[in-house]
Amino acid sequence: MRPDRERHPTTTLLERAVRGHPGVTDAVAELVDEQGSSLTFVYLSTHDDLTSRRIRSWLHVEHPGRPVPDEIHVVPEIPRHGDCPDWSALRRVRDDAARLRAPYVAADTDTERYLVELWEDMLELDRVGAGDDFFSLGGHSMLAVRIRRAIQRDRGVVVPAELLFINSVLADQARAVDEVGSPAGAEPISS
Amino acid sequence: MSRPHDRWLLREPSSTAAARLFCLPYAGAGASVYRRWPARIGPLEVCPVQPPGRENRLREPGATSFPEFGRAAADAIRPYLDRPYAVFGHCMGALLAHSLAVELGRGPEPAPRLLVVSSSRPPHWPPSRRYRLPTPGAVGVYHPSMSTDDLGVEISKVAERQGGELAEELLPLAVRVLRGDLTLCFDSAPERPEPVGCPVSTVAWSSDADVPDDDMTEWAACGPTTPHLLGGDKMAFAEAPKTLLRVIDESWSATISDQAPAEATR
Repeated sequence: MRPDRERHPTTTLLERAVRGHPGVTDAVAELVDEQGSSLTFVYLSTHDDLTSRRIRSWLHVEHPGRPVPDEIHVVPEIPRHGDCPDWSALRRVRDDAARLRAPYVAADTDTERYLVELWEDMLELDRVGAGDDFFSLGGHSMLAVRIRRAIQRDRGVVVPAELLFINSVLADQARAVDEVGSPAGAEPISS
Repeated sequence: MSRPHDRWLLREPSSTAAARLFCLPYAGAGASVYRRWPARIGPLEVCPVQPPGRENRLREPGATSFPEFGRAAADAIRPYLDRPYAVFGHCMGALLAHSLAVELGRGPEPAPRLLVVSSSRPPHWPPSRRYRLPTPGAVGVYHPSMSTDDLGVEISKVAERQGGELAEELLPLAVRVLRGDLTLCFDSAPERPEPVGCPVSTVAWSSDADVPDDDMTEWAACGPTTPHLLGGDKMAFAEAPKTLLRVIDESWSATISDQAPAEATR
């Protein structure tokens, strides 16, 4: 069964809004009821290097006050059967993205909230949670160095890159930063 | 906060994928080298494997022999062998992939259906024949006789080739991981070819200054081999070029229709 979710007013508006971005070549939106709540998903293709994060901030600026999608997925091409989007293929896109994430746990401490923002910037992702893993989200060693430098600049804490590697889950990384930052907790750099 | 697959696989494999492709990184690198690969190649779900001793597993001791690696990796991915699967490796990753495929071929789970190896001489060649000092133009070629500085220069070249600049502060770490891998490659060479019990697709790269396609033909000692020669530089594999994805997809289709005709027509 394939409900006509693409015709729902919210999804029509979202599609039209996203297609208005000059970098977007194609976009579809769907509304899905999941565990009692309605979620909106946008899938788009781009000839640019657009990311979901950039589209989201663009939507905020261009269409202030409008509902924003819960998730935005950038795909090489919108899969279709004729004119109709292939919703099951799009669902796989969504599932694949979800499996990079741990079940969402909101950041709890000041350092966790700081790292969430930093990771979201560096990885160009939305809604990073305390249980998410840096490498699963697409992080790599060179990005870890940029994170290390940002932590030094913003928090005045010098964290060895090695500690960021082995504490690749955000909550663990926040704890490591706090420990290194506390006067007694500095861990020696092993080599 | 650790989930069971966390250490060995970057993400929980999908329960709905038709088939899986386990991907092994090259020397000195971790599973994150597959970050630019798509989530799926045809029916295959891409599952990057994280060997011990790198990235989030930096403090774990690295494998000291290929059979040891094969056994440990096989144990780790065993829960995910409930559907047809293939193994892919690039450079040293090809040797890791081979050792994993050999181990998995022993059962009790079904053996892999396909092994795809990129830019790697056959595993049974002695190290002196497998590894050369870097020739001019070659990038990412390492040899244990190289000084720490020289290894650092090579690692930096690889980082540049991947569009980044390796921070000075990472070099000691990177060299440490690489030294471990080089030791593994030089100290643990099988004396004779070990068959993997499935077809092998070899991928050579036309601008690969280190491993010519001729050198890859002897993978045939490990299983029925189909050679492929792709245009470009071997480091392009990390960007998942369409040519490589097509080789993987078509090799998979071919092996599935050969091995299980009933399944293909279902």
